[in-house]
Amino acid sequence: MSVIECHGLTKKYERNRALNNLSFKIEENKITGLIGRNGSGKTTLLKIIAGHLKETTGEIKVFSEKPFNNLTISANLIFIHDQMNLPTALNLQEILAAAAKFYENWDAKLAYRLFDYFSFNQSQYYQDLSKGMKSTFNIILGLSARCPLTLFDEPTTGMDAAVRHDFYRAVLKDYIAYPRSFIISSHHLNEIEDLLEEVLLIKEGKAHLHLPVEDFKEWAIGIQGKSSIVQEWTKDREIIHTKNIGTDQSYVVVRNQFSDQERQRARTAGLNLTSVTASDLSVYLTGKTEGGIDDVFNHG
Amino acid sequence: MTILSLLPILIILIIVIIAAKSMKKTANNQVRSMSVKWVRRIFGAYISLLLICTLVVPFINGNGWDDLKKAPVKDLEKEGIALVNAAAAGKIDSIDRKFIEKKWDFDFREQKLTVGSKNNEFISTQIFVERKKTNDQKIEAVSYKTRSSVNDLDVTQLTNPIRLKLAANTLTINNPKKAVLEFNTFNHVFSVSQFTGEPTLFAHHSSFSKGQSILYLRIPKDLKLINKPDVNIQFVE
Amino acid sequence: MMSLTTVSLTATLKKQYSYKLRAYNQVFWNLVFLQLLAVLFSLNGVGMMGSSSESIEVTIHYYSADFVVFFTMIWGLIIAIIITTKAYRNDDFTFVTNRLSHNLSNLLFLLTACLIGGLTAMLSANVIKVITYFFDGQLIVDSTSLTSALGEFILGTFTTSLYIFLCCALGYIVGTLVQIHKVFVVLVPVLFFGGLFLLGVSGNETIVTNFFGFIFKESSILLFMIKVMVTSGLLFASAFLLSNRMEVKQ
Repeated sequence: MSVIECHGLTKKYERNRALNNLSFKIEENKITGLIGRNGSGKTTLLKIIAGHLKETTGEIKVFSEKPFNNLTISANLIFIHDQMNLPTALNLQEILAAAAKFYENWDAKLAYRLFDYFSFNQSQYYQDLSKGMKSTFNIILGLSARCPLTLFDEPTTGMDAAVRHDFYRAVLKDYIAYPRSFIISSHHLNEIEDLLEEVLLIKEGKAHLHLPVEDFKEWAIGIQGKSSIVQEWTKDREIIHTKNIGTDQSYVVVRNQFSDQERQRARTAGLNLTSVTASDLSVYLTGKTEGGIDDVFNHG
Repeated sequence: MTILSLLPILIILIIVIIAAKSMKKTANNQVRSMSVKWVRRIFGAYISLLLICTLVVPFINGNGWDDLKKAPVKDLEKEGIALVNAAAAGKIDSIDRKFIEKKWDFDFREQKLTVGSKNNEFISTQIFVERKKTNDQKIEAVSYKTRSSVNDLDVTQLTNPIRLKLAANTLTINNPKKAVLEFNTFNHVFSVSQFTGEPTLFAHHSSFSKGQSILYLRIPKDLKLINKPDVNIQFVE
Repeated sequence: MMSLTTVSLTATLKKQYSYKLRAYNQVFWNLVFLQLLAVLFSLNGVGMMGSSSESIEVTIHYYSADFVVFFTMIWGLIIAIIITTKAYRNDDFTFVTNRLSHNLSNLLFLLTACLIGGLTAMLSANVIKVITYFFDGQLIVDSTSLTSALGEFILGTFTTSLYIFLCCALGYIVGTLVQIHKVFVVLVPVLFFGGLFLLGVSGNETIVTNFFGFIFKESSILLFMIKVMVTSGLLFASAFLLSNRMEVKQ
């Protein structure tokens, strides 16, 4: 059984389409990274999965059921995001107690161990926490709920690097102990790529790529050298990114479909072939094909 | 329905807005709301206050009214009419002695008596004068008063008698010292009175029945009586 | 694969209800505040009758808990509006819910609030009595006799709670409309007060009177109950239907 399956999923707000004919399938017990730029529809997708929003057209199934207005789905997933609404009248300890009642698999021990580890105070109030502390507390909720599906939307907003790394380890450890499905959307792909098993890359409301993370790392290759030679070599290939270096050098990222022989020849032609890191690739893929911020300034 | 009658609705609207604003604030994530513990304490204290007051009420209820007897308005009216009729017909002796409020006996040897009030104030008590068969040089004055009631409770004992003074050929009559009575009465809330047939929603019902009071004078046979216009004298045949 | 948890509506309702009693308990502090404020207003009396002659002056002050009941009704209206607002609504969607259980648990919470409001409003009459006795020191004549006190107390609690519940239903539908579209923030009061005003000005006051008299003048407890139940039932049902497709917005 797949955890999430969607076909032709479209969500319109007023006029613009946040999701445009999105189709993908996520199998169970995987940690999937949801990658995309701001406004690419990541949050909209997660909200539809969580049953907060209703799709305009298309079909979405979570655990083989439609998630909107579905009590079973609501009980089996937890959606953690940086605009969580938590009751202002309850202190942190009371919020944990309330959450414990709602989620059948709630792990109170884990919750309190994390609570202490991150030095929360039971009588604190959520609205008094700093942004990073709020995110940390949200994560405690997300992990302790131990739902078959956990959605993290930008879970590390405002956290400092040390806490972010603690979080990644916590997710990994808890995942190994209790395998279940996670979907994590994050800007910090370089930090979470070791954690992920799959990458789902969204661009303009469409699923652009959906690959295991190992394949993703191999998916593209960077070619650097004299512009003329680079141009010749990349002529008929799927160009992902180009960048001019100096006057006659350029760096082009293309889909990695080279045979070993071709690589050899390229090197002899004076080209420098490099692998592209997952995070760089995600930036290139979700960005525009040609140019970048530099071009904005290089118009003269 | 005038614009003025919309005023209560407007006042309610203002209260709603103010109250909603104060409550809404707590829903806003920025503002700290009162902790569960404190709300419980305050609410607990409030409930205790309500319960204590509920226990106290039976002891103070009707306090001060215990010594007041029931006096239905219907009976009082009859009493008043009977008193005046009896006095006018000269049958004042047929009136129950319990209505006698005060008696005066004056020795009076003069030929003329002026009757008036102190500062020419209007005397609400009606005066009946009966000439005796003899010239015994005595004036008897009796003030009669039937019962007064507020909400069917006899408040006669809380009222004061008329004042008489005889000096230098003049009988001065003064209105009784004004009795100021204040009562608090507790009505059912409208959500109860609506079903019990009582007046509801800021409507009230009270009865006040002022007793009839007369001053009955018995004067010597040939005494000349001069009455000032501020007193109302009726001779009994 | 972790096995899926299956949840029943009633189990979820129970959890949400007990959660709301804690998380929304702020409203009970507001209740205390409003009722004490109303008690304060009530100390001035709800009316006075004076009668005076040369010899006697009688003043009767009337006291009742009318203000407290009014304020509690307003409270009911406000809390119903407030729990439909985003801040409270989204709290539910943080945890386990669907729109039906969200609405039903709100209804249960409001019912509880109405009972508590009705009960405290009736009891507050005693506070007014005690304060007027000790601080005014005047004679008290009580038309709320003690002999039938318990029966009247139960009747009053019941009918007052129904009044509050009706206000809750009004507030809930208004709040839901506002959540659907902000234009109702302006539209609802304008229609209501504008309607009252126009009817008043155009001389059709009987419509207004009938409108209020329908509930306020009903002297049969059974009919009153049916009227309130049916009216608030319809209001709540419409709110439920309207919000059943509503999305969660941040």
